[in-house]
Amino acid sequence: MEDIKDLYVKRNEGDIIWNRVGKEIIIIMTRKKDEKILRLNSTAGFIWENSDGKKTVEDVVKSLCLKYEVEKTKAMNETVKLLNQIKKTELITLSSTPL
Amino acid sequence: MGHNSHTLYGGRKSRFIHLTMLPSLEIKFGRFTFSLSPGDNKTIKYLKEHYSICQSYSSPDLSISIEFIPSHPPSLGVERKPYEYTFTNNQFNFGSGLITGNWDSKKKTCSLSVDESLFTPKEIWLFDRFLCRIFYTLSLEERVKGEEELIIHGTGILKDGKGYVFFGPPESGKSTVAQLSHRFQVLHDDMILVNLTENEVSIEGVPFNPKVVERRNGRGELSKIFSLHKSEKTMIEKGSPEEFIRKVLPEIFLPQPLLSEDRKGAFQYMLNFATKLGERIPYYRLFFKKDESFWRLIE
Repeated sequence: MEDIKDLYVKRNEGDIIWNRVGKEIIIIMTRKKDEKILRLNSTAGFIWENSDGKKTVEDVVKSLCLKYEVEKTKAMNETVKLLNQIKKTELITLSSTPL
Repeated sequence: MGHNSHTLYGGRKSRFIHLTMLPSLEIKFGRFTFSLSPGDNKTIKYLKEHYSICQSYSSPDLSISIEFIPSHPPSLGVERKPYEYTFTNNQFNFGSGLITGNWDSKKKTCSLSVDESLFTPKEIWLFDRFLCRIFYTLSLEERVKGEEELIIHGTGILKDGKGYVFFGPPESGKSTVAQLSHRFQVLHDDMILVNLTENEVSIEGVPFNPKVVERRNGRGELSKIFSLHKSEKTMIEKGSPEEFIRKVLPEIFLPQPLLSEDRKGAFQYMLNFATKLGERIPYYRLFFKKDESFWRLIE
């Protein structure tokens, strides 16, 4: 089984729109029977914006550590936790190859 | 027949020309004038009362002809789904057959077959919602560069030339605020049209009768915007643009035109609009008890 840190992470753009509003990211899932408004805080928003399909989870964590001056293990744990949460809502895709 | 017929003829060899003038009603909806022709005087009378103040005398931007179809009683097993909407080419079906018709974008005409039960006090809101969609269709077709407009579920009030919007989910107190503000110019107690240009953000009422107050025509610059929270104590707290957007999005009437399935585009327009509004207009949380004292705090 692959380690999640080596997977490429991409935010899904299908039925989703999003905007940065101040420090937050507002996401709207526009599917007719599954409309939802989600809000990501500053760090979660940073991960979202960096989930472009060209970076691995580890790349994103490295950028996160630089930006917010956090310790790498802590940043990795928080990132994995967040990605597992939003993966359930089909907001992101994880893949072993660039997307 | 309620039609006023005029027959024109002249000269021995001329052919008769029959001009049938349908009774019609012109209403103002934002920057547009709609001409409604239901074809009978009884309905015109009813609609004149419903759209009383917003009658317009300008030449119409859109002509809507209305034909009635008999209502299906529930016993016939025809299920009414008021929020269903389908379309093919320029034909549409709103509310599972409650309103069907076609839209001609070039001629700016709309022909409707409407279930006759909709033109009653209890059901007219469905026709109002449909008119909102027509408004959006026209608004997006006739878009002016640098201008955007959206309908928000809220109470809009003009006081001393300044505009205030109070919004919130059902039961949050929109009607109460409208009733408590009877001394001022209440534009509407449920739906308010917000117009955003590069230089100004303004508000005006929609043409439908409000729920609990008498509507007054007017338009004014938007000064402050409030989310409503019923409370034992009246107080105002400053909110952030981020919070404003989260709260206001569910209260915006989705700007989706008649012949479009582009929900993503409609949501993007809505989100961009709300973001700009949140950046430009101060937003507050208003906790209020049922008296007029909140106006002193607002001032």
